[in-house]
Amino acid sequence: MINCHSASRLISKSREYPLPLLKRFSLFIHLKACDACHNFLRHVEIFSRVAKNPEDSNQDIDEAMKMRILNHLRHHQNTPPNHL
Amino acid sequence: MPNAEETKTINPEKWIDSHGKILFRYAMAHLQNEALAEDCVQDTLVAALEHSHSFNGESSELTWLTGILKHKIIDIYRKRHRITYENEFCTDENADNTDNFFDQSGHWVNAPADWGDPLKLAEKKAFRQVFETCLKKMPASLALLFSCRESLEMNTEEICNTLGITTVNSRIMLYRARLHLQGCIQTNWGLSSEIQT
Repeated sequence: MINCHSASRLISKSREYPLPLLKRFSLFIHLKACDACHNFLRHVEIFSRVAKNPEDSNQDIDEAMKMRILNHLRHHQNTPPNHL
Repeated sequence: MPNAEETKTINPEKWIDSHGKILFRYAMAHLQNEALAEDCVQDTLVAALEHSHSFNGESSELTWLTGILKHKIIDIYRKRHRITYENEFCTDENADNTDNFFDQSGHWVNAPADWGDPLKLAEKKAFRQVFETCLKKMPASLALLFSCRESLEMNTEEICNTLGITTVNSRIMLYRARLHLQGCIQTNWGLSSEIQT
């Protein structure tokens, strides 16, 4: 049976690509018997969830900001692209 | 002079009206700073203007703009973590240095404990704070890579192109980042949950 070091590596890899069948099976067997790695699997999912959904701010783009950006863009648009 | 078709496509005012809100919220969520988020949206639209010829209409306008915005956010992450374009990443060939998390027989040194319901945990403010702190504590290149992968939801190909690392290296480094988070949060989460009311 694979040890925790290998199992945790497979857990991380499984977030990136579908593991080959044999590796998936050996991980499955390990997880059946190992609470620590089972917890790590759950934690890795939590990390992903927390990172993906940062706290939504209430701040929104306002009219003043819109105008500032728009003016900047117009200025930029009207400047001929005179790259050296 | 732009031809009629191009003029029709390039309409910054329409961009701001249709997508400004979503782009700004996206930038705010990942930068937590209003001024930086505004700059980011502005730089995104300037870049979009300059490269409007590269918009081929295959993806939606919003997807295209969000793609540019992600790169602007990564630039700010880089500055935050003081990572230059040239170094940091390519030098990490021996990245599989995860030995200190495991003993010689491959068992956890500090076994991941049961932290409780994942869904509830992810919503807890205190947990988020510990998470953010731990992300800042880990080596900068790992934190940047982790943010690109998990926050900006870039795929392996995008990550490799943007950061100039190999697929193998990115997977090893993501593994290390996750181990760092596991260890750091495990050490600090208990403490902050006691403080929490």
